[in-house]
Amino acid sequence: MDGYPAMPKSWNIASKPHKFCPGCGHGLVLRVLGELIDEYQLQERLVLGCDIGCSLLAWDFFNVDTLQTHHGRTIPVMTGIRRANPKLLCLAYMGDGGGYAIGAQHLVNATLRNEKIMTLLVNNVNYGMTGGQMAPTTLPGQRTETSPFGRNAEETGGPAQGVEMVAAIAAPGAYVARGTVADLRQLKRFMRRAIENQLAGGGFSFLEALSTCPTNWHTNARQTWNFLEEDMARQFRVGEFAVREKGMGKNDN
Amino acid sequence: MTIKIVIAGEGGQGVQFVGEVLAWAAHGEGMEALYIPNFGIEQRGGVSLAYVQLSGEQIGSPKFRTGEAVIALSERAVSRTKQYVGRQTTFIYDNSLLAAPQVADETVGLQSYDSVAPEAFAKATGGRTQQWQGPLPEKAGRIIGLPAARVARQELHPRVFNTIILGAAVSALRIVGLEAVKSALEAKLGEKFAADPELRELNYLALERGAELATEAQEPGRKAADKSFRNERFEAPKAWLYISSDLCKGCGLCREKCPAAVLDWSDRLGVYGTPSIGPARLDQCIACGLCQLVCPDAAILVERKKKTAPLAVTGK
Amino acid sequence: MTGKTVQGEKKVFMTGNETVAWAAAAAGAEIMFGYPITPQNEIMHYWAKLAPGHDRKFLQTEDELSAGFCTIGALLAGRKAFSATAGPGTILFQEPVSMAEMMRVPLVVIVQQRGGPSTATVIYSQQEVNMVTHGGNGEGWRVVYSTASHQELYDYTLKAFNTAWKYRFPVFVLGDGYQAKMMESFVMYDPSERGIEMVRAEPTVGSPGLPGVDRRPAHLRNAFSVEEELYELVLPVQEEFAAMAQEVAEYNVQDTNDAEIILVSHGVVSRAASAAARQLRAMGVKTGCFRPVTLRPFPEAALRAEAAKCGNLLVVESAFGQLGRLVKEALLNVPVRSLAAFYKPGLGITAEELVEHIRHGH
Repeated sequence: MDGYPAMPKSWNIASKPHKFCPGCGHGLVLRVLGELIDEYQLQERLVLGCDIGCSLLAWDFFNVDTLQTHHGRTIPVMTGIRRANPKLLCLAYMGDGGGYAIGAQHLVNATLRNEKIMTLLVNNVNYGMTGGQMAPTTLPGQRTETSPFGRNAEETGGPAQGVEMVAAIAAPGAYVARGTVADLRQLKRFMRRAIENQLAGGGFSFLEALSTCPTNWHTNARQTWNFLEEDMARQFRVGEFAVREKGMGKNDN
Repeated sequence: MTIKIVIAGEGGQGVQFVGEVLAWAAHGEGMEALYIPNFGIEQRGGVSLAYVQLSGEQIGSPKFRTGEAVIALSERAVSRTKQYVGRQTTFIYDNSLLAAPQVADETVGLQSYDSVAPEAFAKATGGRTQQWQGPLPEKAGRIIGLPAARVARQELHPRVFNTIILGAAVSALRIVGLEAVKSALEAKLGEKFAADPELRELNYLALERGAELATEAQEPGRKAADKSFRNERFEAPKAWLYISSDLCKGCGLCREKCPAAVLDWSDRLGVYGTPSIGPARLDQCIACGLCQLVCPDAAILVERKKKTAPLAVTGK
Repeated sequence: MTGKTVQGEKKVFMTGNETVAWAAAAAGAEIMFGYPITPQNEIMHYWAKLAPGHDRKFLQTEDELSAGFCTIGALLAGRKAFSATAGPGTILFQEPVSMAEMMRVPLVVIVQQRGGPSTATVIYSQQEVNMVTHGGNGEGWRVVYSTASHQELYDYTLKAFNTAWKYRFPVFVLGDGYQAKMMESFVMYDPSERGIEMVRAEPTVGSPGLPGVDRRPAHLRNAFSVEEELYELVLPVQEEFAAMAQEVAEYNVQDTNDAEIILVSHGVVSRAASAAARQLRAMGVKTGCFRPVTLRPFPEAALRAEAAKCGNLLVVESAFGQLGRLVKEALLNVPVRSLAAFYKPGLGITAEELVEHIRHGH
């Protein structure tokens, strides 16, 4: 039958099955993104910048222009592209390490400048590609390779509330939200609004997606869902944190 | 004489485990041993390579040109390790896995300029059989094909697939004794064995079964089995279920989310050589589409017989 | 396309930093990203002032990493973009420059050297030679033009854009705090009126057409899974770099034919060397000069030929052997009688002290 499998049209079939681990939430986030690329016909004007980390594996995921950048540096690269060619929709795709640790200064300043780019940050509470180290988002007590006895918040702080931070400093016209792959319909609703904010000429769009990492969590499927839907949900509030008011965007009527 | 061994497979097949245990076993017998893993960028999904050298004397560079043994556990691993095969090489491969689909090699390590346009996908995948062109290395002095994955699945447990390979390698190469390998296993897995003594038994069985398989194995002298892009269709009361074991990585997320307990592990091996998902209780399917929704690999499609809603992730 | 900033030829008098801003504008640069660091600040100041009137853009970023990566983004989008930095900023710039080397992005960076290591002085040095020629985690695929005057700052800034876009390697214009801050006269011109054709900028991402259907999607990589893959990529680029070196390497010589001693120096120090050589000649010491204009690729063959003739060299620089190292590498297996050093790290060098040194000490 035509159209099988259940892949968005914008997916690059040659790179499937994709290279994310079994049960990795990146595949879900990128499917939602793919459906929206199709729906809004963005293939021609989207540039996807992939941070180093597991997000790197999205570099040949779509039939859109993509590029790998350096760890933490995706926001500046997308800023440069967008400022040089305002017709493009520039999407920085990264993990929690790239956004909240090594690239935090770029996230903060792009928010402050209200850059007209979109950032999609996949939060799986660890550094996946390098083998499961502690991230800024790692939960208290969570065991990782560099917090082998569980994260001690006294020593290394608590889980980074990145969305709250961005929302606190966001300028009018920005869109800031946190979704989860545990609720894909809601995630898609948020992602749609983040994209629409760009299309409307609004400001910075920032969407964090709580996601799964069974490989480094060392969880089976049931434990994976439980960790996401209970442990992570307790630490990270899902919802919209800043929404563009009507008329804030250049193209709003 | 230094014995050089390359073990290659898909990330997650336990290649590094085999290499490390071999090295540990030789070390336990008082030999010099050198093991170096060579991972791809991917945590899972890239060809994973283990280089092992065992010797009575000091070992030189960690890398080498030609192996005394090359063990390849997937189609990609076969082509990736070709360079290490010489006239004296014993080439061991899993002939039950070679028939299984793998992550397309052309997508790894190339600018994917040659990607298929979405429109061409139906043609590219619509039932067309993708022939595997690459032959087994002709040069090899000895070729041993064994159905380790099938044996693991049918007789023991999918998890001990790599231990079967280990047993086969030890038997085929006669480099270290089985007892030394068992001690090395004990050193690596002692804690798990203590918690679950059956696991020890299972691994020992797998070692021995692997050794048997290597002995039984004949040079195949035939081309590897055809590779097809599988796409099975199942009929449930309210829907058609399409499942592609070529895409399924066996994560089980759908199995947990199915509200009617329709899905369970099947006999089909998925893309990583692990069991793929299948419909165990089709009659219970309520055509909710959740399995399709939560599949990170787009391996499932639910086609409702009465079309009421789009199959994409909905959400306005 | 941006309008002309210079009409005809014009003799002007200004600081080196202002010179760079006008040169970049004349080269057709459309956007600059920068972060404050002395002594290059005024490049940004002048650019920010002239930008709106000439349909150019400017963004002050949060740090040099961002400045470098934003510049790369703009270049990939097909705009002539550039940045400028110094000292600790040049350290941070190694990261974007290394990405530009790997992905062949025509990055142009003006460096005004200050003292080092660390924060050191904001004044002057020639201590950033190691960093601009061979910094980063690669093979040093950069072009480095070391300028000695404002005329050269202007000429080579223009040239830097053409070299970058023609060969697609990152290019440094290496000045220093003296050149940045001093004022001198030079002739400003529109390149087209001198028959210099500026290489057109082309986009790498965002080209017209539906990716995957009308055209191949641009899938740009800098990360690879296996070592052989990288090796196969690096070798041909290395060859391209070597081939480019033949076309790009530049140097000056002065009175070397009968020289008993040749002073080897670069950048602003070559002015002192040149003056010293003339004074020494007047005193009866036959002195010549060799000056590499490109520190990378280094004009090795030319220096080897001069060294083989003379056999007595003195390396003069405001660093402790950074040029010296390049010279030694170039002279491998060339029999020279003496290869002496006059190293003044972070300190300006005068013709007078060179004359004294050679007359009394050498």
